[in-house]
Amino acid sequence: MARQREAWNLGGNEYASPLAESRKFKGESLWHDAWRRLRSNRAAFASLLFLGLVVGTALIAPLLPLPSPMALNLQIEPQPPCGSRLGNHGWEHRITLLFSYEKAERPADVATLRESLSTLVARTSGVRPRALPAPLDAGEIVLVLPYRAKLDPRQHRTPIDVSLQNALVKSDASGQHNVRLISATPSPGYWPLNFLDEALLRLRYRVFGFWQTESYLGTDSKGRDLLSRIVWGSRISLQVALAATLCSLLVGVTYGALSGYLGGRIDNLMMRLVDVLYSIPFIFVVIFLITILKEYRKDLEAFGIEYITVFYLVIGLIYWLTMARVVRGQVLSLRHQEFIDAARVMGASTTRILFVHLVPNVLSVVIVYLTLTIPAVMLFEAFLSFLGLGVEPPRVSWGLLALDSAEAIFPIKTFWWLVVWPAAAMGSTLLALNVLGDGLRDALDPKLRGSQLRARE
Amino acid sequence: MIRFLLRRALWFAVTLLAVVTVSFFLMRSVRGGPFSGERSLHPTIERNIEARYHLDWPLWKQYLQYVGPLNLDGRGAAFLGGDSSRVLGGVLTGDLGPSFRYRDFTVNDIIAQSLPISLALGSLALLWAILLGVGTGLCAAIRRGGKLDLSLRLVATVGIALPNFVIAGLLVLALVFGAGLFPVAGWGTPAHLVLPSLALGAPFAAYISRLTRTGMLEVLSQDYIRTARAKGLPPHTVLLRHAIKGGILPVLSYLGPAIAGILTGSLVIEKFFAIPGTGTHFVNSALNRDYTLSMGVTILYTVLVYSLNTLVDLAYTFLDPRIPLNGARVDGI
Repeated sequence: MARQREAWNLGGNEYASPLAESRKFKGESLWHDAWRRLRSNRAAFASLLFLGLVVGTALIAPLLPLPSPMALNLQIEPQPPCGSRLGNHGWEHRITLLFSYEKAERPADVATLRESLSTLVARTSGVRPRALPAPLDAGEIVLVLPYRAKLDPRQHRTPIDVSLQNALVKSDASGQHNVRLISATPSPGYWPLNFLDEALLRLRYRVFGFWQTESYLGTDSKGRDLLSRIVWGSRISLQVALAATLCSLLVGVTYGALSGYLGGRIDNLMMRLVDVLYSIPFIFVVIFLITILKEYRKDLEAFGIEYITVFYLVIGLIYWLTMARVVRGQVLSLRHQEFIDAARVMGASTTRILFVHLVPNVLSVVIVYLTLTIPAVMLFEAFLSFLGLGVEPPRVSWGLLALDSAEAIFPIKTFWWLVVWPAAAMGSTLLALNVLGDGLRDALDPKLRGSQLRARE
Repeated sequence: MIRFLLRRALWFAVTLLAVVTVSFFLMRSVRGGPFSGERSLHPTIERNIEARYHLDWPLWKQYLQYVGPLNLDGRGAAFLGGDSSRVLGGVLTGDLGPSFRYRDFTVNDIIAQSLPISLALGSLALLWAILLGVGTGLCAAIRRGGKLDLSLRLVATVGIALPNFVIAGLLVLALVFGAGLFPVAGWGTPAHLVLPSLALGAPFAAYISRLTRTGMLEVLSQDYIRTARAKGLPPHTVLLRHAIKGGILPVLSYLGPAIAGILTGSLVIEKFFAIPGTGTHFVNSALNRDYTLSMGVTILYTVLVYSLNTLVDLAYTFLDPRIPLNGARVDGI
């Protein structure tokens, strides 16, 4: 620096005071400015908070004391909100232990028997069981344990039923009742979860024990709690939205930036390809693709790829087209500016120019477009799941809830809560995303007009 | 104009060929074909079925047979060894082949039965979308900033955000079970058409309403409108004769995506209201592994979307000569 100044005779003294003065002012970055503008937009900020709430709830869903979203109870018809006196099925993965005993004369005997059995099970398994209410003269006692892999009667070497049987025999030598363990059946309350969610479930058991909420929003036609299904469904819907959007982001930004930066014949060719893809009615092709992919399900699972991952990718791969176009347009206008020339002169590689110099400059447009892609992707996921081509039971997504609600209104009796609550959940989230998208667009680029970004909706 | 159409046709051929080729080879790549996996059939029967659908041919020959235009089987042209009773065949001649599931039907039969239903539903939905959308957009633009404008804009925002099957559910709840105005589902009388088309058109109506409002506001602030007002023309003449022409242009350019959206939206709406249209058949074919039907409908809708989009583009240049006709850009979904 110093040598340059000397060579160009820049002096320095005459700039000293303006420089010192300028240091007193803190510059405002684009992001800071955008954040300020977003905060002053009340609707958009409220949407942001609401979405934060939705995402937060979805993240900690295993921790919330909700009933199981998949344990069926086929005996009862859908219960209206808060009207359920029957109690939902248990929340956890559980192991149900069924004991039989010879009939006792007095009810008090059964109570003590249940108590001593509980103690026995607690000592053997290390977990305090819960006794399910049963008629006193049934001759049966049902105890419920939270599911642990090491207790699983089907998996572990010395499973709970064997060690319990041994313990029973030992205690029975002194006892007066003839108690037998009939069965130990594990029943999952959830589909296979990742280790983080399992940890959250264990934490939930620590905090809440077996306690779970009433069905605040009612139950569905298979006796599952609607609130729990909406919360767990939001997880999958948001996951799909996030994964597919990331996928479109990665492909679209790279493709668009490359095409715009390289220019000329390559650009022409790349954009022609996008044009061709654009004119295909993609939903049909995707449905066709998904049908084919379902055939390969077993092979994919052998490779350790879950079907749902493929589903994310397929959705993501159709939403990159508009992103590529938008990014290309921006890059085209940037690539002849001086800072790119400067970078090239300094010997930066194409990759470096693309990702260090160009992409950060189109980021604001990309973010705006992202917030518009997310609701579109969520809609598409709901669309496919509604048609029975997306997420599969026992997993649940908002599209499947909509399907349930469609099936729930045609019988003679309508269960309004099955229609209204999922619609409200989906509607408010999508609405918030749209409002936030508009707000972000106004905040990040006041000049940008909505029409060109929304063309694909 | 001619050049534009020719170029469109060329790109269309490229697109269609790509769709047909990719989906054909994907379909044939599925191991064992669509007939495996149910009951195990007697080998003779299996051979017969394979012969019926030409699954025993080498892949390139199957592909040529599917694409056409020459029919390669025993009934094809004499120089190919056939008896010339059916020389032409394949997608190029509009023949989409036999259905894999509905044994006595060809894909063309099924489409011929169901497409009129889907088209009736779709065009009515488009009509709703335009009528409701333009109407409410105009009202909102006239009463700018008023209560009517605000509430209409709110409804439009909600309408854009909600998927059509959710709207359908709410509509059924309100109008069928609440007010008892319409039959729930099915097909046959005009009353059966109202709710599905309304639900199908609603999101597009909302978007058109927004576009109309913005377009009208832009036009209404221009000089020629002021001139028309200054001449002393009554307000409705200014609005309906002068302003609407320019104000509605954005709506027109949106019609292409809207048509494509309505066509795909009808998949869900047909399923929701149990309407026996092409969409229902398509979804069922995807669930039943009826690959030829699935492919046939995909091809049909590609053609439909493409040609309707071209029409919209033509109309657009007619109404706004400032816009040049160009290249291959067509918006799918």
